[in-house]
Amino acid sequence: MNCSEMKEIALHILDIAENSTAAGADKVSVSVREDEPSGMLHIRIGDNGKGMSQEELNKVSDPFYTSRTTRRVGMGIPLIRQHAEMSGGELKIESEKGLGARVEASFCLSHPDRQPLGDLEGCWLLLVTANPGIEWDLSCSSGKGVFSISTSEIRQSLEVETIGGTELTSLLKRMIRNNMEALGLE
Amino acid sequence: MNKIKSLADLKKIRDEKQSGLQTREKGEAAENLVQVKVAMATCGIASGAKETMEFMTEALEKRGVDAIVTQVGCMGYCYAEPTIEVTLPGAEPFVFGGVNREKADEIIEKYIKNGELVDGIIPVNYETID
Repeated sequence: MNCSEMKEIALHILDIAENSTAAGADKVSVSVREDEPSGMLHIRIGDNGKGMSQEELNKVSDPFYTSRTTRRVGMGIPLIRQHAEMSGGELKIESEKGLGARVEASFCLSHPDRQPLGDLEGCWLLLVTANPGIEWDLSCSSGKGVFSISTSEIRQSLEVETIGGTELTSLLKRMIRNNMEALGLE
Repeated sequence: MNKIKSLADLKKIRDEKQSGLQTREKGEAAENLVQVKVAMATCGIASGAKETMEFMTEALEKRGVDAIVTQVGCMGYCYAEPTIEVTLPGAEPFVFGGVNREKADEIIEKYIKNGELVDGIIPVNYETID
């Protein structure tokens, strides 16, 4: 395995989105916005999951805190925070019990320690094809435009119940790639 | 080849192709399919679960195995990531650890296709996650 750690921002997105599904969300939105005037890359993930109390919010950046019972550490949020801060950005989390959560990470685009965005295309494809039961609302934008796609939109336009199968997946992949390339995100 | 930029383009290409290809989009109940769950929490992702997941999806399709590959959270075996849970129709689920490409390939060829057990099974007093 040549990919032995969280090397890309896209992997953080997958990871944080998994927190949303673990929190029982059935609607999750992800936006990636490259804002050249301010020189920042903004990632925002919002969900309608069970949310967190103030007490949980205070502990969420502690790697030795986790709400799950399968293990005793929770590295996802601390790692994305570290990588955001390393690049001169920051991480903000807003949540209320019962009202979902919103995680916003910013990265300084030109900072030498900023991680590459990575395989955002693969990340989106995975989110929409491998998580039946979750409505994804995904968007990315740069100075060159906006591209957004949602699972409900895919199902409606293509008249399918589940998003999968070789053919559909490869067509979706091409569509996502073509649009992302046009935005020139890095 | 036309550039697919929108869902409308995608639909058009799919509809043109559809007649010539067999589709298995509809119908088949999940119990009759091979189910693969790839653990993709922080531990899994950091160990390369995304690559494992992409490989599994692609390889199963290419080799003509009817399977559903989904993404799940941490199964609690962070030391053995990437881990996957494989359920063959009518069989108990098995969790395999250290599933890189080579291991995934072996699991498909030996266990999924022939029901032959391979190294790397995590023996557990087993509780599945939802």
